[in-house]
Amino acid sequence: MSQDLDLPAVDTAAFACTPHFDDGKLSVTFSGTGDVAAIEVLSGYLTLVHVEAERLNLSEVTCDFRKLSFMNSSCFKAFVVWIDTVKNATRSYRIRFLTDPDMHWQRRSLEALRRLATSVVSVEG
Amino acid sequence: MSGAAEKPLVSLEVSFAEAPPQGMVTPLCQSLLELCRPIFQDEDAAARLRLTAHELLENVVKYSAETACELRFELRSTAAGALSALVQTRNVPRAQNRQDAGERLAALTAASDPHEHYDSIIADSARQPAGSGLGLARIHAETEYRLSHRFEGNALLSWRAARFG
Repeated sequence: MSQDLDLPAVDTAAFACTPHFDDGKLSVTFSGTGDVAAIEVLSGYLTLVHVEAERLNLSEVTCDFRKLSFMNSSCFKAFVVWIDTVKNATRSYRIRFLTDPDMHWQRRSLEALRRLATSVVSVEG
Repeated sequence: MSGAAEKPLVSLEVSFAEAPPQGMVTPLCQSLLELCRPIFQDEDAAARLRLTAHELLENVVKYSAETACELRFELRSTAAGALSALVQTRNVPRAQNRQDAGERLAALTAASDPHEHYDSIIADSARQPAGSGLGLARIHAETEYRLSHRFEGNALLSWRAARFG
């Protein structure tokens, strides 16, 4: 079974998901605006992230939000679903969010995600 | 003029003859943010306004019947030198969403702890396909905008007000 990452980047007009896989560590950079146009893309992408995290037996996935200017509640919910899935999986992994302190909504929204699964989620920045 | 109401610092009214297109929410809210940013002089306050307006407008887009809807925004200076912001929407919810909208708004207003209520909504939303009320709960917990609402016939008038400084 290949240990290479099978997760393409996705880039729409206003929203992008860009994976980085190095030395067995997966990081996904989310950029642009997570609004109604991004919901389906994001939901599908997080499903793929989970599949790869399980296939590669990863201990952690990093989500870099520092280039994400805004995220609506539907995109927020996509992360809720993902985190809930990981929390209840047989073998879970950690999800680490990197935030920009100047984007104040990130601190508040991601703290709420952290409370959903404190054993899974951490927030930095 | 003595007794005359002061004009708002920023006032924006947008109306749509039919349910508004989804694609207008982000640019409209971004424009609102840019209009108010110089007055707030506080990026955090501006960000909370943007979140409030965005979530409310997306709800209007998602749940409105094919009838007129309105958004009204005002930013005023109070006598004490603080800022007062009002975000108001008026729309006709689809018949199948009307009861749910009323119940969710009532539950939010009645919640003694917005963060506890928010955490509960978040946990529930993981298992619901749609319509979890997450947007409203997010406004309530992540901003200082406090919501009120009433039905006027079939129309739902809801408004959120906040003070800064």
